[in-house]
Amino acid sequence: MYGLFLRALQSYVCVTFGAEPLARAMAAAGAPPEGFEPLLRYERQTLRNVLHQVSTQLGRPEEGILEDLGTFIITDAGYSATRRLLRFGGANFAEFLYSLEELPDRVRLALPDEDVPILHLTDLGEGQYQLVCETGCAELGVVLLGMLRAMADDYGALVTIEAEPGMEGAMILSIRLLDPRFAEGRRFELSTTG
Amino acid sequence: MTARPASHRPPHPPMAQAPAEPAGQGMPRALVGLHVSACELGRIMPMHTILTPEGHVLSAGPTLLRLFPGETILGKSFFGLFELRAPVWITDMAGLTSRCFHKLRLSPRGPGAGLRMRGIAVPLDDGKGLLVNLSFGIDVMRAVRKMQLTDMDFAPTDLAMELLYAVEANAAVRGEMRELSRRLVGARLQAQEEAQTDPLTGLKNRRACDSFLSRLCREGASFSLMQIDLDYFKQVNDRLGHAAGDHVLRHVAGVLQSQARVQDCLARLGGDEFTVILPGLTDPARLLAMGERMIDLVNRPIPFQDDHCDVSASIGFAIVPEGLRLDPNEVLGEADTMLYAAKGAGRGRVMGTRLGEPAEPIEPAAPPPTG
Repeated sequence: MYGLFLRALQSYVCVTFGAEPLARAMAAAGAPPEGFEPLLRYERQTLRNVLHQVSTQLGRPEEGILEDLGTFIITDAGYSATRRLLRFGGANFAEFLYSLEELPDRVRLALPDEDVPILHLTDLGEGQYQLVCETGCAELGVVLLGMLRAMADDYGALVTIEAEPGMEGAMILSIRLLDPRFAEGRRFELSTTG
Repeated sequence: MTARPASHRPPHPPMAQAPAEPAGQGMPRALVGLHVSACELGRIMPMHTILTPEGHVLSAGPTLLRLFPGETILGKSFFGLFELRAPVWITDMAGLTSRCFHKLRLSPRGPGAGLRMRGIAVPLDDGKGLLVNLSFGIDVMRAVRKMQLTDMDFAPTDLAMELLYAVEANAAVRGEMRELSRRLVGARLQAQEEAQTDPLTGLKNRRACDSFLSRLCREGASFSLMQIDLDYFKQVNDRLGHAAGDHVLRHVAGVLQSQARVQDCLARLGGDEFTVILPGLTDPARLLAMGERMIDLVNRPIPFQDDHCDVSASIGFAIVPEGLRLDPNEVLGEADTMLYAAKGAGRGRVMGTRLGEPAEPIEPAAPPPTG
């Protein structure tokens, strides 16, 4: 895996910071100059190298880059398919959270080879949720954090999300849904054309 | 799942409790007596309808109502709202009752016309009518588009969302694959551009030939350069087609290879033009003999399928003595001049020149035999 991930990171850096810092980071990381192929497999070390070099070039911490990458995946027009697929999960943010446990199966409908983190959601009541993200790749957990924050915006929900590391690279996200209808969410229809 | 607010559902008329019973293979009908309100039934079967014994709509699930926007379907005939086609035409309650427990194929009339739906009907107790449950089946993509449906319109047990998800996700992946193919085609074109080999004959191409020639000129090495052009090649193409033409080009490449030395550079520059660069070979007599042997071999009929191709060749060469460091284009130009002279002198000939000396054409004593 990591092809989709690396490709997204590449797009994020290029769109947000420009081709120059991206080219420098790719060269410094020994990445192919033509970029990564989303459907090919890469080593996790490649991801770490590229992330480290992007962080160095931009002078920003890796965690911040990963979280912003998660936001980028939801909000950038080039990734509208991802947002749409996630919005299929439910009519409001709470339903969307519930649907996350089904996400790995849904991803496998299209990408049978992809290793998707295992997600466990516990409804603690009163708008509090705990999402455990079991993955061999802690970076994915941070990206997920950014994606969830962006999805909350998309639904117009007011949430706070705190992340803490769990056992064996897992990540525990504490989600507090303060107001499911805080703002006007982005319009969403199941069909793409009217 | 969080209960959905009732306000999202269209209002329902009050309805008599409708006990629905299973098809009951081996199960006594009396075992299940359901008491469900129309609203509750609409939650688990948003596309159900209950028909009176006369075939009128007594109640309908919220998604079924959406198929007829702005229309009151309650009290109307089910057979006026839907066209029931397969496997037989069903136009009344007697027909529908006889098809209970079987898969129905039907299409709504009105704005949803053309949607291919499926359904099943079961009889209610004491001849109180029928419970019919419908689904969009595989046509759900079109239904979603046509009727502006949302995930609220499907029962939580319905796999419609998964189907939509799979279709969209596959479209996204297909898009990525198209992009990948596009990039691969671009990369292949670039690789071909940068390649050194002529794919048709396996000889070197113009690019490789240019770099070989440039190196010799730069180093001031002694060498000769032969320009070879086929005669009557166009006629082969015209008479027997391009496959025959390609066959001839491959054959000629083989002839050149059989006559050249390992250190020589053999190239096809395009079309029926060949170039041979011979490092260290400056003896005009040897070059003439080599050229004549090449022409002699090319002149022989080349079998192609049940036919044969007849071509000949003209050759011009330029000899570059050591230490001249000429411009590669000048060498090519001089060899071309000799080639044109050979063609002008009647084709099937070899002519050459030695550069850096008073230009003196080199010709064989007698014209070579033409085949």
